[in-house]
Amino acid sequence: MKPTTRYIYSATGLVGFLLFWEGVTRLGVRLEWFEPHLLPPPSTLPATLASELGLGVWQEMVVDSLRHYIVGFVLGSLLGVTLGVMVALSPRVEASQAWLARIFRPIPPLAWIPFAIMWFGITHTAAAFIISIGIFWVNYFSAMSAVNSVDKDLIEVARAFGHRNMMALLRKVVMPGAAPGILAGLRTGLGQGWMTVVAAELFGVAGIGLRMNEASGLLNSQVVILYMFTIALLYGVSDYVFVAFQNRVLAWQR
Amino acid sequence: MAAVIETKNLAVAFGEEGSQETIFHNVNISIEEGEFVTLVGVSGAGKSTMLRVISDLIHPKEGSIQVNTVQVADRRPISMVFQAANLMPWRTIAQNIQLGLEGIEISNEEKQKRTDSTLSLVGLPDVGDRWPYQLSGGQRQRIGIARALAVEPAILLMDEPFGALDAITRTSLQDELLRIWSETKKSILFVTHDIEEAVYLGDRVLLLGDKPAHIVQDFKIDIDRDKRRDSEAFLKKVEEVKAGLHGAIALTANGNSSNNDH
Repeated sequence: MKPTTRYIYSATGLVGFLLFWEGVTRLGVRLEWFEPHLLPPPSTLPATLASELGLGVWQEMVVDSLRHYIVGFVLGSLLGVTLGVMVALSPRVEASQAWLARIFRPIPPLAWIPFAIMWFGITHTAAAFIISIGIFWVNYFSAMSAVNSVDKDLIEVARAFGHRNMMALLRKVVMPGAAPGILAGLRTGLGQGWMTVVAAELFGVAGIGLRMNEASGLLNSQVVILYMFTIALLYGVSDYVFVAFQNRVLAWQR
Repeated sequence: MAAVIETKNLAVAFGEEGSQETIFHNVNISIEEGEFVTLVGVSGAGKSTMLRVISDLIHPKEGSIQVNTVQVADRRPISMVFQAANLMPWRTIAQNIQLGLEGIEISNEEKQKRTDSTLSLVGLPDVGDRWPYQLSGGQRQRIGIARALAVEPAILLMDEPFGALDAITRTSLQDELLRIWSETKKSILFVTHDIEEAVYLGDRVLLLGDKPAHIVQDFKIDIDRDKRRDSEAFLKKVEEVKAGLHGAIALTANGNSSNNDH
């Protein structure tokens, strides 16, 4: 498929979806489980945005959420990649974490909320902590398998050409060889992080999640939908920037 | 003449103490300066392992390897060409060639000079900025050779370097290698399971018997290098080595049964 054709299809999908939504709400289709006045048409969104912007709420919430997101992303990614690489390199470290990882991995980030409040209070740190958990696990396992799948023959080549110690092998073979897998993990974490932002702010830390929760309590669905789109926009931008970075770093791949 | 490299009673075994499997034993190889020696044996005989012991990637159980060369700071005494070119896909061709130059005392100008000269030597002067995936299999193997030559080794080890290539590319690379050899005067130890290749390339052909492997025969190839492809003398020599190899296999088959007896 040509890029332009692809572009046209993507745009048609989005516009079609918005038109369908607008149509359904305008026609006043009423079903037992579907009350149109609870689902405002998309054409009301610009006005909602203007009002939130006018109050200064939108900017404030976005900045707060970005703070949580960025700190959580950096922290979770850094720890996840570092520990994942260490586990893959050392059979002893691998064995030490085997049971621990099985215990902690399935615990959803939200289950940590009580502890986040106990340890950090209702603070930005607490929200960032919740976000970092999901991102940590994604990167932990992707870094581990990325390092494990590095071509052993290339390690032998590096050794044959005089690079014998662990640091040199890490720098010259292991990390560049694991880079595609690690970057794929970071990208998954990038999306995972935005999914947790809302939940991480439910317990009272200011941000997009808190604002959505307030609005939904008042059945103010326009606001809820506005912030859903806000998250989509933030994710879209961060993912776009990341992919550009990734393509640059991995220019050596076909 | 002095041997550039000499192995004395080399033996290698894998596995835990007590249940070790001996891969080869009693291996004495001596290569003169500028000599092209080929080593043939059946697959799995331990040919690759032997090169890895000589290049110090695997420690021998017994014996020693002596490299008689003047230590120079900006060279490495031994380097190796692998069966698959094994270039690092994230390095450009030039950076791949410089792999062995990192970590030795060498100026940046000299690094660049060696990169350019080895690239020209293998006939690919303009590919330095490309990525490995942009090259064909044969070209990648030439870069593998350039990478090994860039460290200016006293001895070049080659582990079935043309085994994975198609017949036409293989033939042309064999001739390329002979040209490079005559231009650089390197001592080469070339491992292959292809007897014709071994006889075509070598000054000497060493025959490796297996289980546990050791050198069973040492053929001197005194056929004029211009007359090697398809000449009668060449074909006769190939037959002779082939017969030697069959004999070696038959021998080890008997050796195995007697081993099983006790």
